[in-house]
Amino acid sequence: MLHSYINSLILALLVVLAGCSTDLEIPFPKHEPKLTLNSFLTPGEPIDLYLTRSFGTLENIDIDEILIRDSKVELFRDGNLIDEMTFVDTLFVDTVYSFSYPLGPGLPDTTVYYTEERQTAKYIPSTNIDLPKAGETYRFVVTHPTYGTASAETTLPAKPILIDGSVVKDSIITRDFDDGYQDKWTAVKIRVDDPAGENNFYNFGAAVQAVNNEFAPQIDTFYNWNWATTEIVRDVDGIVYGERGPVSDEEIDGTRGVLYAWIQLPGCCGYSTDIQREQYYEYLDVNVRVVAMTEAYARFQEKLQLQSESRLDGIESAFLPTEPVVIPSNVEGGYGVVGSFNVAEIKIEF
Amino acid sequence: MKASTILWRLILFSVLWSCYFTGIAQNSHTISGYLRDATSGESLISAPVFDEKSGKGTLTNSFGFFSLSLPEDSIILRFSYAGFALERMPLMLNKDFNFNVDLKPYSLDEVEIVAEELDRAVDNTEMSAVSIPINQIKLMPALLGEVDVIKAVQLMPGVQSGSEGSTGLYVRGGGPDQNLILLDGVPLYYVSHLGGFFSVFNADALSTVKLYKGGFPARYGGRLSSVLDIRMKEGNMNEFEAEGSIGIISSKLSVQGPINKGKTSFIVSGRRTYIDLLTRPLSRIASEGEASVGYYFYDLNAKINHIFSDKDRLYLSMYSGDDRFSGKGGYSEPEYEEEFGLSLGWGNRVAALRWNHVWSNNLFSNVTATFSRYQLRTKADGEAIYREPDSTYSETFGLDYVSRIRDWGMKIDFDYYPSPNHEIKFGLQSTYHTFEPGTIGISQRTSESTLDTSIVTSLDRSLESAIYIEDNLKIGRSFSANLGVHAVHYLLNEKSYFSVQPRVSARYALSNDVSLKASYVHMNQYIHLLTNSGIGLPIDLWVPATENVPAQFSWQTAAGVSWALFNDKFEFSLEGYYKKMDGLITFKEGNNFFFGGVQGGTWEETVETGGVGETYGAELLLQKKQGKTTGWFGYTLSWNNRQFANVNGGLAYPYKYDRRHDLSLVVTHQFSDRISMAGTWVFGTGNAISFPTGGFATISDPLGGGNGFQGGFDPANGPAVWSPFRQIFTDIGSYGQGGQVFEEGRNSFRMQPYHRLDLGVNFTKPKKWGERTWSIGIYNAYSRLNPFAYYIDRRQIYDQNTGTFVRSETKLKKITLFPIIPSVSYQFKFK
Repeated sequence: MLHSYINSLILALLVVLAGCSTDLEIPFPKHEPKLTLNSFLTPGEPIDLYLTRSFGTLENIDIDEILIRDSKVELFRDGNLIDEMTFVDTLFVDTVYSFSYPLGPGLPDTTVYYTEERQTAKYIPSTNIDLPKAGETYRFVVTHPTYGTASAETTLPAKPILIDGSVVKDSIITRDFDDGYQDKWTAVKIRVDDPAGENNFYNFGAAVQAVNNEFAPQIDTFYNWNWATTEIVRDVDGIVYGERGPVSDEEIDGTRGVLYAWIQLPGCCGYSTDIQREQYYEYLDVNVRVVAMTEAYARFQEKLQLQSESRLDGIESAFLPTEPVVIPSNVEGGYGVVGSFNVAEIKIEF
Repeated sequence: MKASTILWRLILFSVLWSCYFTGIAQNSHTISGYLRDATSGESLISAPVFDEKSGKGTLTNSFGFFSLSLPEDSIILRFSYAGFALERMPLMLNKDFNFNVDLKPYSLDEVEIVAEELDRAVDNTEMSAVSIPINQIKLMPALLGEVDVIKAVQLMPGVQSGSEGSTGLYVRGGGPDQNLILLDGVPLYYVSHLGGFFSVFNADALSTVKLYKGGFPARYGGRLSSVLDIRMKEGNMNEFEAEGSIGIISSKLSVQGPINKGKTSFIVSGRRTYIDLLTRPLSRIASEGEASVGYYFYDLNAKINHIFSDKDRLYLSMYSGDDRFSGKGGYSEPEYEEEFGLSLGWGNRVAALRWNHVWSNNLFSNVTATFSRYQLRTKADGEAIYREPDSTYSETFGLDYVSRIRDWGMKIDFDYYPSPNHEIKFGLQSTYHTFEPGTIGISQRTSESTLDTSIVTSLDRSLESAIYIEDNLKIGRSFSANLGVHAVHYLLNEKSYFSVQPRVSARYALSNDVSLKASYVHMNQYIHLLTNSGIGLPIDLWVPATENVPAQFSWQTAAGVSWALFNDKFEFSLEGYYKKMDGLITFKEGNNFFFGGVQGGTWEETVETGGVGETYGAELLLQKKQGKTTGWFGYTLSWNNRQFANVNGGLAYPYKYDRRHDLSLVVTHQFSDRISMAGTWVFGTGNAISFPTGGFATISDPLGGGNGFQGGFDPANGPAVWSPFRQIFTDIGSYGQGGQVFEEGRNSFRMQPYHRLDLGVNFTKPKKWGERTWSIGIYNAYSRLNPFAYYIDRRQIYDQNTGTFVRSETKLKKITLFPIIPSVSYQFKFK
């Protein structure tokens, strides 16, 4: 925060200097559009593929201009062609947010739904094929008269085998920020039986149940396979939130290992007043979802998020450029990602 | 082998080496003494002293001391120095002699007479080294009339300037942290004012400037790419004098003179800008009296030296320089009053105490104690007063942030002249570093509570010790070499690191006017600089090499030819070089100095380590050092790449300052004693930068983001229910979620070439009290709009009548800092 403060002062000086500058248009390297494939598969859910083309930095586009509607999309399962996918473009209503609250003692909860009308534009199987299963390998081969051919494949990971889970004793911490913001976190420990041979990454989701309330926490993860020697970091400065991506199973591949997840707890505290801070919740349990995801999926999302967070725009980027983030892709001849994941869930009592 | 064992062996080797040369010098006699400026008593550094008959000679050392041992015979000694009349001294050498020689400055009319008597690069074993006379630097046109040593150095081949107007030094592909910048032998860590547009060196206080780009003598160490050795004036021993200037943004004043004539002298030199005198009233007007802001920088150099005897001399020199940005404000109402203030200051403090001792006519020593500190300090405070009908109470707060590096050093250097064919330098040096990346003090007082706390981030202390020996040897009339070794022991957190760095330079004379040269050197650097702004921000942070971020090291080889042309009126040199660096660092993807938090943790976690740098090229320099017209033409052809395992897919990529072509032309002409003119023209390939050439769409992550679920899900409803909808994101602008494409990798985009012409003219007139000079300059004479930076400008276009969105508009823009800028300054010199 202090660096940002100093940054602002320095930047103010520089902007004063730059105020004498002249902005000019100059030529920019031409970008050759390529096919962009985006698809995430999970067992038991229908397969779909979002197909667009890439665009130049200075190109002002909207989605309609980059959607690819006229491409040949072949779908292979374990090396066998099983379908030639078809493009659909429909409108539907989607729930974007909902929450429940009690009407009063003895009355049922009421749930409020917020919805939006959305357009989906994607390729789906044209025939009634089986839903995907763990261990199957799916491959998309896309051929387009203008943008050439691109292909990508993914193998659905096995469902994580969760042996047990527990809340780490005395791990609840409260963070205080300079601007008065507070939040509260705890660590949970989950023992897993990692399948051999799969180059998976693990990620987490969690929901904490507290008395009369349910919250959807943000979480952070850290990982250590040896519980006996792990020290739970209690120091506020020692915890980095929202910055650690999925953890690799490299060190526990084919063995029993331990995963830790930091979970944000409800009831504390935001910018609330001192009085409100006293109204802490009683925590009941936490539902932890452990997600096994493919490496391509994990790497892609990790770098995509990093690129998004670190990207500067406008004149600030001229003075304080961040190092560029290159997003890896498993799409041959194009951009995007074809990934897959599998989810298991465990309830842990506080 | 233990580090201590190696050190002892080196010391033993040094002693034996010395004894050997003492033995072979038994049948000769030695002439020794100091060479000085006759008018001021200033020592003349690196001046040639040689016997006309035998052709054997030496150069004065950094304190003007010379020692020359020759066989018993009649000799004719010649003493010369650029800008001074030649001194010839016949002598019957039948015993040892010790005397001082004073050279008289020549006037313009005598230039041609002494033209051939100067030090010639073709005779010197050193290679990849250049000296720029301070007087020539003062004649050059400069931005806003501020004569700048660093910017003059940037005009030499092999040296690049980085961004427009910047004082950054990028030598033979090295980074800005890889330059050892010494002021009177003390390292300076931050040499820029005003974000890098001016350097901290006040030319009025300086005596000599010498840059080594390669072929480093063993006495230097600690940085990979260059040594810039700057010496301050000593102060006039004979008479008082004062000089100064009044310019557009600053004024300077230097005073020097004897305290005890012929024994003790002093010099004090100061410079201060007065930008704040403008900004304070303007900001008051703009804020209707509620706030004022100001900025200024100053430099203060001082030196005192005392001659105890012909054998002992003491120097005490110091430098202090700061940039200060400050602001204050407040407002008042009947019930409430508030005041606040903030200040941001950064700068160096440097001090050196040196003792010269002549042990014998062929052994000279210099003991130096040094202190160097660079500090950035930010302070903010405020007070709020609440007035109620029956009471008044107040709240105060204070913030104090300090980041600094401090060095305490001791060293002893010996110059030993056993014979005309050997000049041996050896010594020991040790520096204790303390690194404080940031200490924060916070205080807050209200009517109910008081808070007073300090947060100290990691404080690292390291001890860097070195021992060196070098011999400048001559074999016959054609071959000479400088052989040396520099060994370093580095101690951090009870862990020791050791390195031995061989240094070799050699020269072979094909004729009296042509010589071939070659060099091979190893260098180590136990310090890193966290920076990627490239514009010399004061918050760039020096950090020590650690176990996780190891030291940098390099080896460099160079070969070339030196040629004296047209009766020594011109000097031509051509050098090719190859340098390999290892242990380099760079910020991780998505990071910069401010946004390291994206990947979090300590500074060690924000950088990629183990980087390799490869740089090679050729440098051409054609110099005219004498006559009414002087100057040089320099050209560099170079390649400069970096490679890190986790950057750019592990592939090598161009360094930001990979500059294929770099050209400079410097001409100064003295029309008469009263009028001189100067011009410089520079051209450089555009900097390599990273720019996304395209973008691609992504879809919403079914897991809710890269790191986990975002948004809620209901645990009561069992396993996940995945939405059939994936939103498509195409926004590659700020904080969008589409992806950016860097098709060619990091730094694949080239900015436009840089070129600029500067012109200056000086009108000098003698006055009863001394002389005055009007200097008129034009920076960027043809107003080339050189690129400083590029950025993408995105705008939403709305219908002015209806206010509805019409379209987006995305353009690439460039920032130009300095178009044509005239300047004028008035200089005076009292005598």
